[in-house]
Amino acid sequence: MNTCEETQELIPWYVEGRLGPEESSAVATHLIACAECLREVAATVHVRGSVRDAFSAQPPLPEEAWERVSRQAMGRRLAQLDVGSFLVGLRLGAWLTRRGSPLRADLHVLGREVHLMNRGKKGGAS
Amino acid sequence: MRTERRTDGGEGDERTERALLVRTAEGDESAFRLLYDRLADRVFRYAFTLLHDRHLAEEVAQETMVIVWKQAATFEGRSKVSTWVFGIARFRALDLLRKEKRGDRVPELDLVEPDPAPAVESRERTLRAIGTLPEEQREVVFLTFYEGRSYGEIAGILGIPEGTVKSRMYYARRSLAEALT
Ligand SMILES: [Zn+2]
Repeated sequence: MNTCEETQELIPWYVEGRLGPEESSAVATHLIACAECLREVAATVHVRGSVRDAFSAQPPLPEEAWERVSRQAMGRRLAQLDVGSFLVGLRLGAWLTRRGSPLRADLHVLGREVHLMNRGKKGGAS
Repeated sequence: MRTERRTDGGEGDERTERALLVRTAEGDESAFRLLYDRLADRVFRYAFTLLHDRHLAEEVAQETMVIVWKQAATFEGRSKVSTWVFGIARFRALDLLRKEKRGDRVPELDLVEPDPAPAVESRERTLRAIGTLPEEQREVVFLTFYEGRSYGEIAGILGIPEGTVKSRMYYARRSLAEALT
């Protein structure tokens, strides 16, 4: 049978339901016989509830974070205008935020990129 | 909208996340968006637990997700997808922490508006209690009770032995139980 010490180390994950079947039944067996460890389980249930509540109450990651991630990760291009690209390779691309304000625009002339505008701070807030 | 889902889900969640990561590695942007929705907020909360600074935590969450996009193909499948992602976030957060460290930072955790409602009062008390734990204990508490992770997975994220995870949790739980009763 598990000692009190072994049992108490496992109690958080027992309460969390994250022990394997063997460890879980070893804890359960110990608890039947040990009032002290059973009290620890009750206290841990209380602590877990408060802690989950407190962490959950923290404000979430703002929605705008996705815009920054997609811009950095995929260089998200939300609007693109092809102006006779088959003739002279002229292409105007604009990177927009979801609210529609331009962040960056550049012109591709014969494969060369010409920046027209860049308002977006790299990775920063816009 | 984030629902109160068990954050570290079972095998079904892991299968889904692996499939999304494979498609992300192939450049599938909609798969990446789904992966982002499953992980980014959790990564943010984890980073906040380590850094006590919302802006830095945002930065870490964003950086981590960009790395996931770029490095998706390098995932070797030796751990859960979320364990891999949390490991990246932890590395970035601790790196920032080293750079930002200027004396003892005041935890942002207790900069909560005072509110007389009993539920809020007890929440503040809990946040203060969590805030006084050493960082190494705090993250184990977060990963266990918010993320619902096993001690084995936590050992994987932190790169420490399972026994160390258990003992950190043991002391954290003692302090919290004392502060909250
Ligand atoms: Zn006992």
